[in-house]
Amino acid sequence: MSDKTKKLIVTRYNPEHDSAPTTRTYEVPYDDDTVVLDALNHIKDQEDGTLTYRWSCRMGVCGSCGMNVNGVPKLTCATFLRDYPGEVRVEPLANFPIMRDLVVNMSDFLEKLKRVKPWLIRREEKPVAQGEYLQTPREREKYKNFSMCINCMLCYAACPVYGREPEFIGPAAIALAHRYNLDSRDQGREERQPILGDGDAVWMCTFVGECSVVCPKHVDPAGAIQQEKLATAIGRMKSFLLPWGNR
Amino acid sequence: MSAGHHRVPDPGYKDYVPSIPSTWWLQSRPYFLFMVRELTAVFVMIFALHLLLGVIALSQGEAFWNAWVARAGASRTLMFGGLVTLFFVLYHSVTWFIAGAAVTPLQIGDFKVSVPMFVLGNMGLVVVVAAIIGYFTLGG
Repeated sequence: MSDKTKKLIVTRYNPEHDSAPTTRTYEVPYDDDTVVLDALNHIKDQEDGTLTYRWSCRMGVCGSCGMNVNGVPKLTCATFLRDYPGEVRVEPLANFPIMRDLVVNMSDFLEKLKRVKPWLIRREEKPVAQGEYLQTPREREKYKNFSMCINCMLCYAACPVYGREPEFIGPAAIALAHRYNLDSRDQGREERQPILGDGDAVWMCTFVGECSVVCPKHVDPAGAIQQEKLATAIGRMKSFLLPWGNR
Repeated sequence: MSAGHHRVPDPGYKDYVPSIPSTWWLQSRPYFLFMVRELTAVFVMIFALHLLLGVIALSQGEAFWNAWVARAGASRTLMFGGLVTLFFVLYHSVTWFIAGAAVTPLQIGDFKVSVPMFVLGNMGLVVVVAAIIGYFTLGG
């Protein structure tokens, strides 16, 4: 580790004593390889063991260490201190209730994820003895991009619609619903249609587009939402014009 | 916690719920550009209303139409407003085609059409259509 140090301004909140979050400043040694998560680990190990934050894999796979770094939602394990010339502000992910320090309450997000039924839905399940549901590489390619989500919630932190109107079902949940709607093995579009076409889903999105910008896995939730807008509109039109038809 | 929140509270914890200020769109450049995009609609609406007045004048006869044209030509505010609207409409059309690329991602065989290609292609189409309309209406 070099002699260089960086000033980190970290949000602190203890629900047992504090009525609102405060900040604490730490001076952290760093070199070209130091990421924000390393700096937080340094603080926890060397300066203040009470600092609380989530992390696990350190390689951008688990999606646990999302925080706002200088106001932008980031995976802190992939955010290098060398890229910030001045001080670095580390805050909990925006738009979520803060539980403690840098830990946010994910309950709302988890409920929404479940609500869109993100699993393969079949009208009739095939007996196991008949084998797998087969899929060509081309069919897989259709949804592959939307299946890369790691549930890091950066997209929710970047979405001003979710910030202002928390009932919005949000980017990642819709992207995941879209992923299953595009899957050739799935037959659940009609079941998801009322959920996605509801007032608190795709039509709440004003296409700010920042969810796709901050996504560390390039999932493009903004694209998924716009495509679902088109799909739900066509679905609704079909059910209006052909109410008796097999949609 | 404001009305309309549907967050599930974890019993035993006192979460702090941050509020989002109404000036959130001034906090970052992308948010600001988003607001500008939404604002362009106001200028387009004013322009459309003025044009509607022209259509009504046209339906009432030549004298009313000529008066509308003369008023529109003489007004510096309208002239300046028209230029501002033109700029905003061009800006909006770019953002519209970016949205279009997101709604209908194009793939020709294995070749995926990128967003800049989609936008440039559509803007090119706009120029061609405008030129054809211009050719016929401005006396080709």
